[in-house]
Amino acid sequence: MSEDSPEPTADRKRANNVSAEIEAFTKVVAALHDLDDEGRIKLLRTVATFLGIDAFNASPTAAIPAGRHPAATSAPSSIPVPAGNTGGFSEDRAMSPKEFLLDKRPIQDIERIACLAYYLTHYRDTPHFKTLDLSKLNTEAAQVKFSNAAQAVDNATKAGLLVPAAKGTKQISAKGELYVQALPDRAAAKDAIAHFRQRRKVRRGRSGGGSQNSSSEAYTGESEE
Amino acid sequence: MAAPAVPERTSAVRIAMFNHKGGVGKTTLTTNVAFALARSGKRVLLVDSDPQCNLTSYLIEDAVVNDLLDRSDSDDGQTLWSAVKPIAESAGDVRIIAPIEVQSGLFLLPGDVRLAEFEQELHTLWGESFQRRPRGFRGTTALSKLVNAVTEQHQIDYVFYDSGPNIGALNRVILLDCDFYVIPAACDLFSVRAIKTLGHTLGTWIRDWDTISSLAPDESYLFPGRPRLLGFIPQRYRVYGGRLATEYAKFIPQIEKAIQADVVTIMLRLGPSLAPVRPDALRLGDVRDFGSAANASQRLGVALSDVESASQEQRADAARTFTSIANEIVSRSAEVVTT
Repeated sequence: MSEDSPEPTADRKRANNVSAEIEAFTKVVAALHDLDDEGRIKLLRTVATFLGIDAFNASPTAAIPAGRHPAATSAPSSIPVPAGNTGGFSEDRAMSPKEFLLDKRPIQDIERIACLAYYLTHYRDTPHFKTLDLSKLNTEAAQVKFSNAAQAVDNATKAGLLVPAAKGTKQISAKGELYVQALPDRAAAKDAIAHFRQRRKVRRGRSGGGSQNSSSEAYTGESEE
Repeated sequence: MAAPAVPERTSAVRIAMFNHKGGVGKTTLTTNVAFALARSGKRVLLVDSDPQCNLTSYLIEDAVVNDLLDRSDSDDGQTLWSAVKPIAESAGDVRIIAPIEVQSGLFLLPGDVRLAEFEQELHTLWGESFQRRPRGFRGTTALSKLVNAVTEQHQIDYVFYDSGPNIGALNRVILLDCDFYVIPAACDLFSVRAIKTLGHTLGTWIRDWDTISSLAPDESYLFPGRPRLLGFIPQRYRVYGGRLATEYAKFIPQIEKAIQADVVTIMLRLGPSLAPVRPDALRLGDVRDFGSAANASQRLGVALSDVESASQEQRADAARTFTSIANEIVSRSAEVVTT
């Protein structure tokens, strides 16, 4: 093909595109230069939305402002799996633990433990944790200190909101997730776990099939510690 | 070469609760006044400058305190020791650490048992300041610079230093950095005796700092070195039938007299702005003995007025007491600052 061909070659097209991209990149960087990180992210997301580009598919919920997280507003029928979240376990790092707990408004210690566990799991990539991790997050969230954090964790476990994980750590249970997702609507939270099936130990060889469920009475949200 | 920029002192009001006698209730008073101020919308920074870390333990769970102390020597440590370690080890200037927001609007710079080591170093640094050595000035004012940076970053209105029960180098730099100090005093004979030495010590500190600051190189960061007595607070007395128990009541006039004779007189000799002139303006308020409610408050890390196990009357009394003291502190400090 001759050089003065009216139709640009694929190479020339690519070169033009790269050049245009570099020029646009320089302009965008210059425009963003004076903004802080939060302002830059906000603007980039606005531009992507304006152009109809799904540019932030890797973390789609991160743009949702604090207090508007799906888990914070309604009680879903099942545990949400973030769409497009192919990397880590975290859905959202935008909301601080303080905002999260302000939004959930836990009253009792075990509710606060469940909320902290939820935050560690979904916002901090920490599905397994120790009491110290919950205590540290509680401090970070500017909450009143636990009079006995170990006891609160134990109570949350007995209520079925946490379950044991490997090497002495704990993790939030499915029931715990449902409960936290429904908060701060306490009636909805109670409702969400009301019909949650408890795992029962079946004793073989006994006609009565007696179930032992001493430590995991369904948490009703009404009991005092 | 241009001199390094000296950070400007922020407008946050810095107050020390100071009495070198132990067990007078400094930490409980500091914490509850801070809670009351934070509740009224002020942004408050608590600095646990007592190596015993009682204030930190009051507000943060033991496991977290232990973790903070375990990691304070590392590069990402978050206690006061982590901040001043470069000074103590002659490895650089103070490291600015982030405070912990323990409740909304209430921040804490956690204490550390190793502050006792820094206190040893402060003796040397004080001597070096007299010799006009930059390291002396840098170390002596390290805590002040840290507090300055934190108050600027977090728009703090009031800073409270919780001091240890001694007359040491650490308390010297704290008092000299403060705009005001409050004397909490238990209603007993030992408190009366302790006050007699307090005024003389403070007078010596102020005079020494006058000398040091007059010798300081131009680019040095200096603290004001003119703490003003805001008042005293009789504490931990018992009340029977709504009236002060006789065994405690008799000490209050004695404390007032000792403060007038051995603190106010000395301070007024150093400058008319260093103490209230009117004797009736000395008392900032009273704090009765809240008994087991005080223990519960420390265990739970909440204000005395929020302790659920306390009686309704105790909670109301605590709320009234500390709000009144907080208001007095705000109005008296504002009065002095504006005049």
